[in-house]
Amino acid sequence: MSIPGTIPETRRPVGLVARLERRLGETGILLLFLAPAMLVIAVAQFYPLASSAILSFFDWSLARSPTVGPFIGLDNYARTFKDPIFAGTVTFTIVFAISSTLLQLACGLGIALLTVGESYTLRFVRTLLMLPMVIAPIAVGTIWRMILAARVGPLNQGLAAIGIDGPNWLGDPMWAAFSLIMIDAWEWTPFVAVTLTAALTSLPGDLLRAASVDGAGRWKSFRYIVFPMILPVLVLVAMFRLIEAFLTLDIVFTTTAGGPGYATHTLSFWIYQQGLKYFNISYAAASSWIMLLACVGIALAFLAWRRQVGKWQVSR
Amino acid sequence: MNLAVRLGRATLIAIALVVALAPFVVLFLNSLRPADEFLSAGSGLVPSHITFEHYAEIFDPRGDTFRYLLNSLIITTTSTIIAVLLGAMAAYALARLKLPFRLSIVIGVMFLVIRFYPKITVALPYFLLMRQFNLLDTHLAVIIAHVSLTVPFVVWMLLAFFEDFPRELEQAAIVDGCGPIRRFMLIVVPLMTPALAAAAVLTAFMSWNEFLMASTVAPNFAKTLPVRISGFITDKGILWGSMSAMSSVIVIPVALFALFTQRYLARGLTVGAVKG
Amino acid sequence: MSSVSLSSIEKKYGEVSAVRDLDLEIRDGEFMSLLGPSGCGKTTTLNMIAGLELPTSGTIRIGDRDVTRLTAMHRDIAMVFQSYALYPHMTVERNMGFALMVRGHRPDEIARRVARASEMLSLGDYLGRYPRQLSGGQRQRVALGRALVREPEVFLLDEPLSNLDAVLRVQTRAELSGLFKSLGTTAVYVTHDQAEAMTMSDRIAVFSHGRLQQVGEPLEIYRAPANRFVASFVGSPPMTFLDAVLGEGGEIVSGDLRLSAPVALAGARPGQPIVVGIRPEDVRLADEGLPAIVDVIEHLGSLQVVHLTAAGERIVAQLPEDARLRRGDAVRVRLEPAQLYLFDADAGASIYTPGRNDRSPSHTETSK
Repeated sequence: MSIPGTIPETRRPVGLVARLERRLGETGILLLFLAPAMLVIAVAQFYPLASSAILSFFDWSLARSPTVGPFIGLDNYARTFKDPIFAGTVTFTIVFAISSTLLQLACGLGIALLTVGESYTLRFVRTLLMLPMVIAPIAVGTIWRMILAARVGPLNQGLAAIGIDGPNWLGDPMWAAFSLIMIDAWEWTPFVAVTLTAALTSLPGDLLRAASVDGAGRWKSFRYIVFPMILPVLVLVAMFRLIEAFLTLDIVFTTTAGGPGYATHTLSFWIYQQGLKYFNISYAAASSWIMLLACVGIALAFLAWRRQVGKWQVSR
Repeated sequence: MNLAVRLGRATLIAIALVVALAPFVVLFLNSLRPADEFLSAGSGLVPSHITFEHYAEIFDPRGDTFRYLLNSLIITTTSTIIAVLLGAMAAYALARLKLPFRLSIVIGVMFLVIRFYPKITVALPYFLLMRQFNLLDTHLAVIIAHVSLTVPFVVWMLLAFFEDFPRELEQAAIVDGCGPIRRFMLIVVPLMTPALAAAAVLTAFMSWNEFLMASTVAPNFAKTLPVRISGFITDKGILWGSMSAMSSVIVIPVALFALFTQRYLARGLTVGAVKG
Repeated sequence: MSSVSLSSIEKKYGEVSAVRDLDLEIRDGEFMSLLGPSGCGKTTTLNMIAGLELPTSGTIRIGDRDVTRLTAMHRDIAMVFQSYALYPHMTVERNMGFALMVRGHRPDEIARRVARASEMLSLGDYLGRYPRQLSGGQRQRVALGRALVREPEVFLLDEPLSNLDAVLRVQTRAELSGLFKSLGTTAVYVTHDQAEAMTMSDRIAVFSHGRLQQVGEPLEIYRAPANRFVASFVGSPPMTFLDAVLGEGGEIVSGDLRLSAPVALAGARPGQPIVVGIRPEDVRLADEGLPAIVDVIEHLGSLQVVHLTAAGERIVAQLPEDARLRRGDAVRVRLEPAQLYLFDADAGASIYTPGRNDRSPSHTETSK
C-alpha cells in the first residue's frame, strides 16, 4: 500500500538508510550530524568553562577541603589584582607575547618572500623549515634546555671557542626571558612563513606583471601591491600568534619552569601552578577568566582591524 | 647584480635552514652521547663515540616507556578518527542547514571561540568533571579532551572547503534519490578526501603533541609521551641522555611524518587564515 | 509519463519574490520550454517542479499526485543540469546507474537500462571512463543518459546545451528534439535561447521578472505575442519598436512617419499612444512605399540584416542577399498593415498582432 501523494513503493529510495532519511527529514538528519560534535564540545569545553566561571565566585582550595566552600563574590578577582606576583606575571607575559610575535612576523615574512616559488628545491626547503612547529612544544623546551645549558650546552661551548663567555641563558632573569622569546620565535616562525607563503602564492600573477609593466621596481611593487594584499592575512596570523604566545605554557615547563624565581612565569604557567600544583581551584579559575576576557578582547580588536584592512576584498 | 641577488638569497635561506634544523641535530647527537660526556665542558658537538645505552635504558622492558608510547599512539589515532568524523559531519550540517535567526552562524562562531581562550581555564574543571565520572587517568578522558580541542579546527577548515563544493552535484544526488546521509557518504566524502586528509594530519599532530590536558587528567597510567618528558625536568637533576633519547622518540617520527604529509599539513594550516 | 500542474505558485526569498502568481499546465507527453532572460524565475520554477526548492505558497501536482511538500528525492523526476553535475569519482556506467542503485533496483535491471541508454546515446565505448576523461559533448550525453535510465514521469532540463560550442549546440538541439519526440515523455526545458525554445518545443512559457508572460506554441508566441516583452524577446534579429499614436482615419503616426493601421483597428480609439512593432522579415523592398536610407548592412550569407532610417526612425529589415544594397542607398520599403504588431504604450499589452487576435492578450491557451 502506498501513502497517497508519494511515489509508488517500488520507485522510492529503499533500504534502512533511506527509511531513516525519510523518517527524520533533511533537517532532522543534519541536526543529528551536528549533535555529536556539539555534545563533545559542550561536555569537554563549555561545561568546564561555565563551571570555572561559577567556581571563581566561591572559595575553594582542594588542598584544604574536598568540597566547594562558601560564595565569596568577587574576592578571588580582587585578590588576583592585588597579588604582586600576578602583576609581574602579566607584565612578563605581555612583553614576551608582543616581542615574540613581532619577531615571528618579521622572520616569517622574510622566509616567505625568500622561499616563495614552485621549484622542487624551494618546496623541499619550505618543508624543512616547517619542522620546528610540528614537534611537541614540550620537546622544543627540552631541546633548547640542552642547547642553552650554561656550562655544557653547545651554544656556550661554541661561543667559548670564539672567545666569548656566554651568559647563563636560563639562569639569569633577563637572559631567561630573552631565551624564551627566542625559543617561541624559533618554534612558531614557520607558522607565519607557511601562511604568508600561501597568501603570496594566491596573489594573481597578472597583478605583479601589471605592476612591472607600470614600472614598479621590486621594493615598490612589494610596498604598494604585495604588502597591502597580504595584509589581511598578516593581521589574522598576528592575532593567532599573539593570542597563542599569550597562552604559552609548554615550553616554560621544560626550560625555565618559570624561574629563576618568578622571572619567566607566563600567565598560563602561573595559573597551572595555582590550580594543579597548589590546588587553589577557585583562585585559579578567577585568574583564568581574567585571561580569557583579555584574549577575547585581543581577538575582537584584531578582527576589527582585519575588517578595516580587508575592505577592498568585500564586494558591494 | 642578478647573481648577487641570487647568492644573497641562497645565503639567507641557508642561514634559516641551519637555525631551524641545528637543534634537531643537537638533540639526535645527544641521544647517542655517552652519559659521562654530558657533565664535562669542552666535549664538542659530536660525541666521542656513539652509544645506544639511553635508548636501551628508556626502552627497558621493565620500564614504562612502551606503555607511554602505546598510550600516545592509541590516543592520537582514536582522537584523529573521531575528530575528523565528527568535524566533517558537523561542518556538513552547518553548511547545509537552513536554521532560523542565522543560528548556524552562531554555532560556527561557537566553534571558532574555542581557539581563542586559554585552555588552562578549562583544564581544572575538566579534571574535576573526569574525577566525578571516575575517568581520571584513562585514555577516554584524554581522547574526549583532544577531540573537543581539535573538532573546531576541523569544522572551520572543512567549512571553507564546503563553500566551494559544487551545488549542482548535490542537487543531482538529491534528484537521484539520496537523502543527506547518502549524499554525505557517497558523494561528499569521496570528493573531499584531500581536505579530510589535511584535517586528519593536523589533528594527529595536535593530539600527539598536546601536553596540558593530557597532563591534567592522565598523570600516571594513561600518561602520554609529552607528559613523560616533562617528568625528566621536574625530577631532581636532569637525566640528559634519557631525556634526549625520549625527546628523539617523540620528535623524529613526527618530523618524518611531516616531511611526507607536508602538502596536507600546509593546506590545513593555511586554509583558515588565507581563505578568510 | 505525467502532466505537471502548477497553480498559484509564489516563491519568495526573504522579501523578494522570485516567482509570482504562477499558473502553468504542462500536458502529458509535452515538451515545454521555460524561456526568459536570467533572473526571470524560470530556473526557480524548474527547481520547484524538481522539488529542489519548495514554493512559498501554491500547489504543484505531477500526474494526479499533489507533490507540493515532497522533496526531490521523493518525486519521480530526472534532471539534466547546466554543469551536467556528473559525479567525478564514478565511471560513466556508475554515474548512469547511481540513481537506480540508490532506489534499490536489481543489478541486472540496472545493467539492462544503462546498456539501453548508452546505446541510444552512443556512449557504449565510454562506460569505463571517468567524466574528466570525456569531451564536453560526451559529458552532456552522459548527463542525459543518467536522466534517461530513470525512465521518470517527467524530465527536467536546465540549459543543458549552454556549455557546448555553437556548432555542437545546433547539432545536439536537433538530436535532443528527436530523442524526446520518440520517448514521448513529458519534458520541461529551461533556456534563455529563443532559438532553442522555438525549434524544440511543443509549447513555450515566456517568463519575465518572476511572472509568466505567455504560454503558447512556438509560432503563436512568435506571431501573436501577448505583450511587448514577449515580442521583443522572441525573434532574431529582434523586432523594431516605434513609439506612435493612433491617428484619425486608420493611421499610425510616429514622428514624421505615417503607416496604415491594420484593418481590424481602423478608426478605433484615435489619439491613443501605442507602440508599433515591426518584425525585420516583414519589411520588404518595393518600388513605391516609405522612402528610407540604408545605414548599416550585416551580411549573413543567405540573408542580410539592413538597418534603415525612414522619416527619422530606425527600422531593421531582414532581406534576401540578392537585393544589392550599399550604405547610403536610398530605397523604398513596404510594410503590410496586417503584419504590424501594436501594443499599449503604458502596459505593453498587445492590441493587435498578425497571429490570432480572437483572444485576450495574456496567458494565451491554445485549444486542441
